[in-house]
Formats: sequence, C-alpha cells, structure tokens
Amino acid sequence: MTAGRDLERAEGLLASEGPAAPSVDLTDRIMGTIAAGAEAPADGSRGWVELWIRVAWPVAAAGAAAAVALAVAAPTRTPPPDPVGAIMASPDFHPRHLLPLGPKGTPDAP
Amino acid sequence: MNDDWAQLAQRAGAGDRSAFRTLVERTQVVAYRVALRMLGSPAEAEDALQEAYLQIWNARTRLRDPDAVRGWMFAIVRNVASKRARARQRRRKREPQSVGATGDMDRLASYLAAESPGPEDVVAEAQLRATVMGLVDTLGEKHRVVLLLRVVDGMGYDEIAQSLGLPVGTVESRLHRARQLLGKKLERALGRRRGAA
Repeated sequence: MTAGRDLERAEGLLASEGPAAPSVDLTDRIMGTIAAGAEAPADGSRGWVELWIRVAWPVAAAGAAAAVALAVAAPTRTPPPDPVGAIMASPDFHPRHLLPLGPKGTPDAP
Repeated sequence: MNDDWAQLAQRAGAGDRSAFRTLVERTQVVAYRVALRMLGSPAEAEDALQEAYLQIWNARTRLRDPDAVRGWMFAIVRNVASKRARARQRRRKREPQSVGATGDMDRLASYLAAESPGPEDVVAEAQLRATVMGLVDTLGEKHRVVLLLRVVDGMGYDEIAQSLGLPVGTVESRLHRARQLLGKKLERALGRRRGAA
C-alpha cells in the first residue's frame, strides 16, 4: 500500500460528494433584497448624508438640548456666600467697618 | 463572449437590474463554490453570497474595466467570505474541536487498505468522506480551497484561477503542494494505526 494510493482513494472519496451548488437559485433572493432597497450609496456621495441623518444629527441634537437645559438651569443656582458683600449691603454699613480692629476692639484711627 | 459580459456590466453599472440579474445567474454557482470552500458550511456560503452580491450592486458604478467584471465580482465574493471565515475562526478558537475521532480514523484506515470497497464501506462512505474532509480542513486556506475546487467541484485550472484571482501556474503549484500536505497528514494519521495492526 503506497501513500500515493491512499491519497488517490482519499481524493476519490472527496470527489464522490460531487460538485457543489446552492440549495436554491439565489438570484431571486438577491434581487429581492436589492429591490427592497437594502442598498448602500452607489457612488459614495450619499454616504455622508446618511451618516449625518443616522448618527451625527441625533448626537448633535442631544448635545444642543443638553446645552439649552444647562443655560436655563444656570440662573436658578444659588450664588456662593459672600460675607464682605453682605456687610457692604447692610444699611448700617460704614467704610470704617472694614478697617482692622484695634487692641480694644475699636477701629484704629486712620 | 467577453463583449457580452462587458455590455452586461455597463448596463448593470447604469442601474439596469435585469442585466445585473443575468450577471448573478451566470456567476452564482462558481461564486458559491468559492464561498463554500472558504467557509465550509452551505448556509454560511449562501449568506455570504447574498451579502457579496449586495455589495457588488452597491459598488456597481465603481467598476472601471467592464471587461474584468467576472474577476471583480469574484474578488468581492472572496473578500466577504474571507471576513466571515476570520470571524468564524475567532469563534472556533473559543471552542476547540478535535479532528478525526479514533474510530473514524480506524474505519478510514481499513477502507483505504482494502483492495476494493465492500458494501459496508459504500454505506459508510459519507462518514469516511467526512473524516477525510476533517483532514483537509486542517490544511491552510489557500491549499484547501484549490484542492476542493479541483477535486470535489471538478473545476478546471483556468476556472479556478479566474475565480481566485490567481495565475494558472500558482493554482497548479498550490494544488501540488496541497496534495503533498494531505498525503503527509494521511500517512501520519493512518501510519500509526497500520503500525499497530
């Protein structure tokens, strides 16, 4: 028994399967898919438009909506505490109130 | 004949669906064989073909040389099948598979050793063929595809060369190498059994 004969008979086994062919004629399936409009841009020019409509536009719209929401919410936010401002806004305020205190708790003379 | 193909390609390029339909009808059997030999599964080959023809239709205006339409279509089919084969390989790496169970290889050894196949062998032919196919599957893609297109599908060298986008000489050398490799694999798989017998 030679290796050559083994190979020949093994090939014979493979060949006995016979030429392959699709289980059904695929033409109708393929043409049906094309007719259903499952087509990408033929020349590439529509590609960017479709990308804009499908992806970029919703992302841009969501970003814009978030920016508007922030802008509307901003004035209602509580400003940070400002103790000096509060003193200055008081009706009893005098500029001397801002001077450093003397040893007895009274403002130093200028 | 070539003019006919070029005309069809030009008409299809201009959006003529009946011309494209004719191109599909004329190429689908060879395209299917190429996809099947690359992927190994009829269902996957049919899906790959559908995807490939859709890509061909969508790219129809990009064909520069209508005379080369067949080669161009087959190139797209190979490209789609190749992507699917790589994805399948990644899946397979996660689920390792054994090639040729011991019982199958024993049966193959006795079949090949017999002078002429007995009735049992004829009944078990499909199983024996699957065992040989398991060995063929371990060949690299470039050798496996050429071997199967030639041996199983009975395609001529020219036809294989055109469908794979290769020179005829390369097809011949790949086929020769594929036979060498398969012969060695058979020898290794069967030699141990014969030595033990």
